[in-house]
Parts: sequence; C-alpha cells; structure tokens
Amino acid sequence: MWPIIGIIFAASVIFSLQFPGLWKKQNKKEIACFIIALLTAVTMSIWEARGMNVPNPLDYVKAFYAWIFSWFDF
Amino acid sequence: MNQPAISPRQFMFIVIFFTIGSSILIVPSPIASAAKHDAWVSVLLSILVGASLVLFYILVWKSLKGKSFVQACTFVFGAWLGRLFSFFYLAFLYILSALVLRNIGDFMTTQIIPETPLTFIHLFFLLVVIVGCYLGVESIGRSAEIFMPWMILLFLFLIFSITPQMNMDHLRPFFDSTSKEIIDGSTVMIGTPYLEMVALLMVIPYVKESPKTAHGWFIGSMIGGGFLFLITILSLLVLGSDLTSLNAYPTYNVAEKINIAGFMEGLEIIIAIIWMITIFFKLTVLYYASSVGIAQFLNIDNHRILLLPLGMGMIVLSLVAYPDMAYYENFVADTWLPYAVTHGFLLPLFLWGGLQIKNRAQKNTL
Repeated sequence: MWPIIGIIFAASVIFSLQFPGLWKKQNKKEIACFIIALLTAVTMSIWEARGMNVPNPLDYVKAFYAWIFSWFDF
Repeated sequence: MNQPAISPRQFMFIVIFFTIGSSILIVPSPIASAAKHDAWVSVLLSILVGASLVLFYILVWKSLKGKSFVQACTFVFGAWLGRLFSFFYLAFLYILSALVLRNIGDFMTTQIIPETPLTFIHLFFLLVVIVGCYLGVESIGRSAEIFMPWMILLFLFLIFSITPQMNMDHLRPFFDSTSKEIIDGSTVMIGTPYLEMVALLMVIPYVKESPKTAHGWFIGSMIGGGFLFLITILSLLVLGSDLTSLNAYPTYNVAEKINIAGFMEGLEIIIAIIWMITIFFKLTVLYYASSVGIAQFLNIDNHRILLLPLGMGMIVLSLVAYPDMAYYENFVADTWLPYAVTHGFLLPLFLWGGLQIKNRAQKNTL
C-alpha cells in the first residue's frame, strides 16, 4: 500500500512541477510526450511495487544474442 | 545562438571521469579471474584497443559535422530507418545508465549501508544526477573541473598509503598465462569503459569547436585507462590474483587494507569518494545523453521535461535488471560484450559509412 501511495505522490509532485510551465507554452507535442512518459513510468513503478514480474529488457537482449550465437555454434 | 558549450579541457575531464566511473569498481575482478596474475597485461592490451576505438569515434565525430548521433541517423537514413537505428542506440544508453545506477546501488548495499533498501539509494543518487542534467552540460563541465583535483588527490593518497602492503611476488611468474586468457581478460575492459564511449557522441556537439577537442577525447580516455591500469595492478599487488577475482569489489578491499603507522585505519570510505564522484559523472553524462537523445528522437526542443519521468522509469529498470548476482555475472560475461560491440562499434560504423556517402553526394550537388 505505502509504496503505491509514494509513487502516486511522486508522480503528482512531478506533474505539478512541470505541467504549469508546459501548459503556458501550449506546445501540444511536449504536453503529450510528457504525459505519456509519466504514465508509462507510473504504470511500471506500480507494477514493480506490487511485486509482479516486470518484463526485463535484459532478458530479451540475452535471448537475442543467444539466438545469434546459436547460428555459429558457440 | 544560445547553444550551451563546454571547453575541450572540461570535455577531457568528463572523458576521464567517464572512463573511470563504475569500471573502477567492476573491472578488476573479472579481468583477474580470466588472466590471473597477468591481468595487468590484458589491461594494457585493452587500452591499446580502446585507443583505436576512440580514434574511430573521433573519425565518426568529424563526419557528423556538429550533429548529434540521433540527428545524424535521421539525416542519413531518413525518418523511419533512422528512427529505428536511434531507437536501438537510445535503448542501449538507457539500459546502460540503469546498469551503472545498479552498480553503485549494489556496492552501497553490500559494502557500506546494508540495511538500506536499494530503491532509496537509487532514488537519492538519481535525484542528484537529474539536478545535474537539468542544469545542463555547462554545469556538468564546470563541476568536472572542480572535482578533478579531489579525485587525483584521493587516488594519490590511496596509492601512497597502500605502498607498504604491496608484494611483487603476487605478479610472478610474469607472462605465465596463455594468450587466450589474456585476450579474454582484455575483452572485459574493452566492453566496459571503451565501447560505452559511443554515448559521448551525443555530448560532443556541445563542445566548443576547436582542434583540441579530438585531442581532449583521446588523451582523456588514455588517462582514464591509466587510472584503471593502476587500480588493477594495485589490487593484484596487494591482494593477489585469487582474492582479486573472488571479491566483488577488490578496489574497496584494497582500501580496507590501508594502515598508516598502525593507527590510521578504516579510511576506505574516504577512498570510496573516488567512485562516488566518478560514477556520478558517468551516470550524469549517460543520463544527459539519453534524455537529449530521446528529446531529439521525439522532435521536441526541451529535453528537461523528460528528465523526471525518465528517472522514475530508470529506477524501476535498475531494480528489475538483475534479479540476482548470478544473473549479473552471467550477463556481464556472456552478453555484454556482443551487445556493446553491436551498439558501440557496428552502429557507428554503419552511420559513418552512410555519412561518407551522404556528405559526398551533398558536395556534388552544391
């Protein structure tokens, strides 16, 4: 419970720090990028905080190079 | 023009910090386990390979003509293929910075503050890094100038205070290892600081135009390599090759052995300032490179809005990256080198070839 409250608190702090400045400039692209990045980060953080298995990019990297090496019989 | 700019001298200091950062902690142990007491030979070998790599990066930088890596990818390969290339490049930078963050976190939790959760170490370390990136590349350059004397003084202090514990017998017999073992050892250091220098191709457009820039990069990487050589040979001389390869952080164990006149002990935490400073700079450069790169990738002018959300993501990534120590050792031993070669050598090679063709075509039409 507490980690999730912390994550949402952190996200709202980030939002309140940066959103007013962005809103003033009215640059739609920047606003969209910021919100998408923040939402992705919050989703990932909550996923991790609830102890679920977050997909690990290193697994994909590892699997990819293992696949490449399997061609050469290393 | 309000382009932020740093001087070639500041850039050289950043390169020195970048080379030493995190490698100083993680490199001696795998090298010593591969090449035993001849580990110092493999370090010299990897410095040689690193020198040629840096010369290659300088060649790439010359043909970039003031663009950053991501901009040049779009310029050469067009919007879609270029985006694909820069996506892999940026993913490499982002994963690398998460791993560097994890290095300092692992070091702190295993050696200094074992009770503190990893998340909070990462959080507070990354906050400082984000402030550094927010202030921009000029501030990073100036603080590199400030911290350089500190690092050198602490390093000299480490070397001089450990001199009585050195034992030349640990290095004997010389050149006993086979050449395969020595090459295996050198791949560790080629992968860890030298191939990662591809990140500097994002920062170098901010260096003031000067013939000394390439000089600064080359000399900086060589000085950094020299520091790594000293630290490896120091661990070998003090601990011997067996202990160096068994300990996760041999340099820290070397510092623990400092004993001045029988009463000055426990100075390892002062020595640990060296790696905190260097890892801070390495992480700042990587984080700056990836956030500026992502901003250029998305075509937005202000990279600062991305810093905090990316940081949140990076903490999660650094926590999930290594489930355990065995996974880490396995990954560094088997996967890191091919991964770094693909992104640190092949990708710039493609880009360089494309730039050569593109620049020539442009010259002909003018």
